[in-house]
Amino acid sequence: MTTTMYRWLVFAAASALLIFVGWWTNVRLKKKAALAAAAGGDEKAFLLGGNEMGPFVAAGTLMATGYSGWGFIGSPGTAYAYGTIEILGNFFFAPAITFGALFFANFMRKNGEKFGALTVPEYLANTHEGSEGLRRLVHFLAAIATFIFMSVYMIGQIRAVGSVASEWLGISIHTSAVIFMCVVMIFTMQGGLLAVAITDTIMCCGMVIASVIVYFVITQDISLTELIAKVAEMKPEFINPTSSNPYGEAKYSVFLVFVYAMLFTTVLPYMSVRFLAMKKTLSIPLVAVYMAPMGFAMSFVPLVGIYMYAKDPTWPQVLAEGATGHIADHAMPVFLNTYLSPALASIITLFIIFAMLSTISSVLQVQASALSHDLFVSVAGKDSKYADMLNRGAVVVTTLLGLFLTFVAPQGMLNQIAYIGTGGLISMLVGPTIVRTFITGNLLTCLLSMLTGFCSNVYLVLYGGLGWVESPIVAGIAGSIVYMVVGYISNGMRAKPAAAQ
Amino acid sequence: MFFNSWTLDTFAVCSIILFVVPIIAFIREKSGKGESD
Repeated sequence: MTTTMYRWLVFAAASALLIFVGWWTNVRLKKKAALAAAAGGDEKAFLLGGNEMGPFVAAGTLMATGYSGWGFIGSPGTAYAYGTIEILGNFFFAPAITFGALFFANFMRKNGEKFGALTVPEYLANTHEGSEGLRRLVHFLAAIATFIFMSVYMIGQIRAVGSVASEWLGISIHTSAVIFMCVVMIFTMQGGLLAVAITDTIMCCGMVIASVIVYFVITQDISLTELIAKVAEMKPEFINPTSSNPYGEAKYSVFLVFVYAMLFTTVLPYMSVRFLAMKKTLSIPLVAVYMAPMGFAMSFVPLVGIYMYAKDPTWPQVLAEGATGHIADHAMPVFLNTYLSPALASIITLFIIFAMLSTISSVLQVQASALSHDLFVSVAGKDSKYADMLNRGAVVVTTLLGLFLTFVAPQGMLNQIAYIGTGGLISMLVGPTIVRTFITGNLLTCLLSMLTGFCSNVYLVLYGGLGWVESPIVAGIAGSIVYMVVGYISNGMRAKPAAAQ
Repeated sequence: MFFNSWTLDTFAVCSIILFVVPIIAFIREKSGKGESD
């Protein structure tokens, strides 16, 4: 059997498994909804997985979604180019995602249930008091921002999966992106959030296995201490950096990655919707106990870049001659092709593609629910009679739109959106999500905080000269201050309205 | 401290915190001291 045929077989088996999970989840949720016979049961089943998410699945889906393909391709490349600062920067996602879930999931889960929120934009609108018109405006704005700014993230992931999968299967980037997006679309359309969460968990297991194999292969050749000592001799700056580049000029700027990732976990709808979907009786600390080793294992992947540098600091120029993209991004592909057997390299490449697919499926599900449920409810002011069909149809529309934007939309337009990107969404939602845990603002407070956060981020990115890590943090602080001040004043100089106290 | 590298030493210390904090939270929940679900 040729290597390409073997890879196609592996791809077919993995796709069949993911689609089977989508089908099985759909059957399970339909049965549950029929038994409960609750109004809107179908929609809750699709958008929140019927609150069926247990601790292991919750941990797996949060980690798999948080660690995108960057962790396996971009991060080793960055470690090759900048040294151990990237190991620390990449690692910070593990505690940030774990602690984000540990400290905020319970609050969001309880309030989501109490106020009947099926999505994060709806959570923001329903957990704040105010007029019906203002509620619908906040709901609409949060939904439209989620849809637009998540699009850029989606496009980046589709491009990455197309690029890696085309080399793996020996087909064009366009064809591979279309094939993989079809697989994601089918299981997301079938089983909604629960199918996405379960497939994420399967993919997370693959990602952890890939990380362990990578670590094992490296340490079979050279011990960790020897590797560090060798690189320290070759380039001391790689082991004891005097700046946090590429995360900032200051020595300790890398710590901001922790803050950024914590905000990203807590407020970005494609992560935090999982908090709303957790089982009512689930132990959040248990979720965190499962998350810690998953995140820890995946933190070792950038070590590939350090290892490749120690082997030969000049190899990328030679081995990746004629290759497209950033030259250091070939650290992982060259490592796989050089130090692993073709069969093992194929499996690990599949797991790397899994890392991208798990993020794509989560973003797709959140975009689709923003397009169907959130926009309909905020505009019409009621649930649709055809909600189930709308939600599933929106998955197809969002997939097609994602592919269209990836390959057809003018790059200039995408760059404009990307400038603001997920940072804009983070800075917009920090106040109403995080500050809301200790100050109960009303809808006007929520709206002002969202607008302040968003506008500050746009200003800082375009004119403030701050990077993608600092801008959303500073803008998020601005939005949070507005939320605190306006919330406190509108409550009559109290943290909570007098009625609530 | 561990690796003669501030980045890797921070990585090591934060890894310990990453494991310890959830375990403490879990034990507190089980013993009824933490927030119960």
